[in-house]
Amino acid sequence: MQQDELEALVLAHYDTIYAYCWRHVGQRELAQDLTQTAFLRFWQHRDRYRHDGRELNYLYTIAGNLCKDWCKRKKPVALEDLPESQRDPGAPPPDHDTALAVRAALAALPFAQRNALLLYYDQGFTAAEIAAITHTTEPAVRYRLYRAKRRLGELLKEELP
Amino acid sequence: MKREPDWAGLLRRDAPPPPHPAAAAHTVDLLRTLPPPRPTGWTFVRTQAGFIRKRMWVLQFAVLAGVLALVAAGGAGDYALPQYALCAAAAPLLLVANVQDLARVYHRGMLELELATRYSLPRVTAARLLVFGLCDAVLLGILAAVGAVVSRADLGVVLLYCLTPFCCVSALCMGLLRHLRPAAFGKGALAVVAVVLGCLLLPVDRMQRWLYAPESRLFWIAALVCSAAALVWQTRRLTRGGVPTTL
Repeated sequence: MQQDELEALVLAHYDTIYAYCWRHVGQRELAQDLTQTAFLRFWQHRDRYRHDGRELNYLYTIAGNLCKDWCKRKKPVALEDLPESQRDPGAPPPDHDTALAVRAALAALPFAQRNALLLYYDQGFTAAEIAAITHTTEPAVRYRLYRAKRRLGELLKEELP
Repeated sequence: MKREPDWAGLLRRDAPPPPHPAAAAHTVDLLRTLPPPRPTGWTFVRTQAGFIRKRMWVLQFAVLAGVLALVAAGGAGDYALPQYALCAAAAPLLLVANVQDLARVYHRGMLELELATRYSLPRVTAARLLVFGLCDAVLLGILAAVGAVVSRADLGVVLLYCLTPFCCVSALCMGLLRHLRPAAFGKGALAVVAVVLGCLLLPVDRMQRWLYAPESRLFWIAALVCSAAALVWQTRRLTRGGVPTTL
């Protein structure tokens, strides 16, 4: 991959990688930092790329690992727990309880389950693609999805129809 | 039957805020400031092949062409050596061009190479050795194949006759490379080639017969094993013992 191809990749996929990181960390500035780091690492380590799938999968692997590292270092704080001064200025004010409840429920999931759920329902990957991205098997992905949905169902009992 | 909730729709209710409008452009700008990543694996070896002087390749193929012509004409006359003996004697000649170029890499211009490739001296030397080794393997294969066809001998035997002096001269030259100064190394390498050539070509007819007799194959195999072991040992010392250039 040449530099200009990478630049095209950044411009094409910046927003989706950013959205994926934001779902994990819940803060705009931090999600932007993680997205930028993901693209830098992708460029630096592209020779190690050994996936048979799309290059975008490798980018998601890197971004997922960065988010995982961040989650290990620091426990995510629910938005309503933050003082007003620390809230993300770019985020739209949560106008109803559902958004906050979804975010809190997602934050309560273990990383692997949340990752599978976000990649499947938010980013539109198939179970096989998620297995390639997360270096696991397809049945393991399906099991994580099942566990994640069951847990979310319990946490969002009142929000679900 | 219980209906599956709309998970995607539920996630969309908490949509992420848009990133800063200049965030993607800032990442692109940052990527432009990064130096290109250093080549790895075969890419690195291929780039090293590009650094080797053209005259080295020309000399290699000229030596091969000359040797093949000699081998093809070698069987004529009453006192002519058998073609496989000529192959054995000619094999070290393929190294003459290699060792000169390797010495240039090892002793001079390393700072330039290290800056260009951002690799240490041992790695650059190892890559060069790999390029030379692959090239020599092809040339030796051609030489042995032609020798086997012309002399109607077994290919394995001719290969044995070619490889043994080749490995022996390679190991000796690598040993000299670490110990001799650049000016003396060229002469030393030529002296080694000349000595091995003399050992293979000069013995009298009786000695020649013994050397290439089927009973002497064990001697050749033992010599090949010893010289190959010495070559591996010298290669390790050459590629690991280099002192990285400090800026």
